[in-house]
Amino acid sequence: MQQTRQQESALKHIPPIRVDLLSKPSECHHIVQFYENDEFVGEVLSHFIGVGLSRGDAAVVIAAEPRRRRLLKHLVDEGFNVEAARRAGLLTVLDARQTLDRLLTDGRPDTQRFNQTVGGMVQQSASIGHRGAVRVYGEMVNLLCEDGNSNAALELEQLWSDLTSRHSFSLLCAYDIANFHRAADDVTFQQVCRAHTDVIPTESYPHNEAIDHREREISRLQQRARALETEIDRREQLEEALRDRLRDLERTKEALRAQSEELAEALRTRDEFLSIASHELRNPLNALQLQVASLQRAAERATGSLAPEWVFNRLKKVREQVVRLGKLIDTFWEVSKITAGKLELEVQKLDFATVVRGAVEQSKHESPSLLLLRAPGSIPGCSDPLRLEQVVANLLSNAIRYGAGQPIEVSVAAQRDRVLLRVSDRGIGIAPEVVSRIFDRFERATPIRKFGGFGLGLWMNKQIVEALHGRISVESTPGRGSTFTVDLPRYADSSPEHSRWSGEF
Amino acid sequence: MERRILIIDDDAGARDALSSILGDEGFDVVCVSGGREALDHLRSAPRPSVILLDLTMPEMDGWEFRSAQKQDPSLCEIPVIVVSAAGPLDQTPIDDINVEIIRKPVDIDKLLQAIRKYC
Repeated sequence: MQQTRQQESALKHIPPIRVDLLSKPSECHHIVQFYENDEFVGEVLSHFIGVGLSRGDAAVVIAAEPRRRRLLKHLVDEGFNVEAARRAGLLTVLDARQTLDRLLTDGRPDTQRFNQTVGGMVQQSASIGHRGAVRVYGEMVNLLCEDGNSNAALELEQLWSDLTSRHSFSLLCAYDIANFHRAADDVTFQQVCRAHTDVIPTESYPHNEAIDHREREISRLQQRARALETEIDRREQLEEALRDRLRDLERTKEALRAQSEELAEALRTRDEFLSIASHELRNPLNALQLQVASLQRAAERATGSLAPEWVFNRLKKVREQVVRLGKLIDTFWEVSKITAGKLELEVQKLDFATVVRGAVEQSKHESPSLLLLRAPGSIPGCSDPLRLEQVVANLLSNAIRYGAGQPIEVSVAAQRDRVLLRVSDRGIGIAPEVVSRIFDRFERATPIRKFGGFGLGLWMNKQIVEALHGRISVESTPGRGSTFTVDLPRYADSSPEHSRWSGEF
Repeated sequence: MERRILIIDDDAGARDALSSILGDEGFDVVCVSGGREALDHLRSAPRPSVILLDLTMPEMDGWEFRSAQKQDPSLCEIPVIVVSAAGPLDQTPIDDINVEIIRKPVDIDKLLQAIRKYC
């Protein structure tokens, strides 16, 4: 922002300078000119020295290169013979940094060296100038301030003041007001002002006539204004940083909210799973409990021994329910293993047709629907037979559950290096809006009050099929049935890194 | 007094177990696997003394069966005992004060006690 203001003022016309003071300074004036713009201080210097030389005063200029160049150009433009004046010792031009370096010992101005070099020069110039008048321009103090060494600057000012008391000459010092941009700089600023007999505010206070003591006050206010601008900049930066922080916080909050929603969803899923699990366990447990109770009641009532055939029949039913419970518990175990990314595959040589035929035969016992199998005599290949059987059983269990008692068709066929398995029912079908979700965990296409089940079968199928590097898909028309297609590689990779599969959860 | 019971349950194991034990107790038991089949049966066969009704069933579920039964003047008088494993969160218990509810797994003594009120 400071930069911008400086650039703006550089574009404007250079404001008037304090002609009265700079043109005709009385001897032993020690003037300080504050400035904002290098261009302006170049103008001031050119005027101060140009007028002096034209009056026959000698001049000593200790300035940075741009200002020296500008001064010399000004003098040439004014028709002044610079070279002659330099040769005559009327004009002495020195580089501020080089001269300063010669005066410093351990970062502080050395009194003896100052008096020898600068004092010597002033004395020499006085012997040449008309009526002994000398004008000196210096900006070594400004350099010390820029270097952050304001104590040394004040010491150097004191040496200049002492010199003005020994030799009569007018001295113009120039300070960039930006050196006092902090509120805490006001002490140094006041000390600099006190070290001078005249104080000229920066060009932003364009007054070209003396307005008495108020100039000091104006300079002081300018410094305060500059310090306030700095403070404003600092606060604006802080504000921006705060806004950034707030935006970060907002993002963090958003992320946390999303995370908490995910957790809540996971909890809901878990609760639903527990609820469904207890419901699913209750059915076989109920049947088991009733069968056992009937055996017990019969034993209590029996006067003689129970008919072995009757007992055998009941025990067979008990066993069926125990097997059913065991299968449910296996499902829980499978789900927890898959969720933990520990689905284990045992890939081996097999006959796809035989495995599918076996799975269909198994399901026939539980199916009220007619199961039709279309399979060639044999499809030799390499896969996990138990997992394949599980996939077929899951698909058949769904087809039986949702097949409305209509015939179910199963087909298995080899297509080059792939094996295609299809299970089609003519049941209730799946609504298009839920098709994309049915392979997700705990998803079902039907209301739970109509059809029980975990909503895990298709999810598990998808995990198994993908672990075997295959694909599972469905085509369905509501009211007309569904066809599930499993596309498996005929020769699954049996290398160890593929025999264990890690799911992504 | 006739001791005829109609069991409506889609779970074959439950049908099997209930019909075994109630058969042993001397009841005349008929089993069907859904609400639609039950209505067909009730309209064509001798009227049972009591109906044991499961709730979660495909096609016509227990709630739908009960509502159809109440709308049919020839069937609405038949007493119903709900035998359910109801548990899932979206299930609401049957809103019917004339219906007794027995939870699965069934306590056989409680079930027999409830049945004997009707036959």
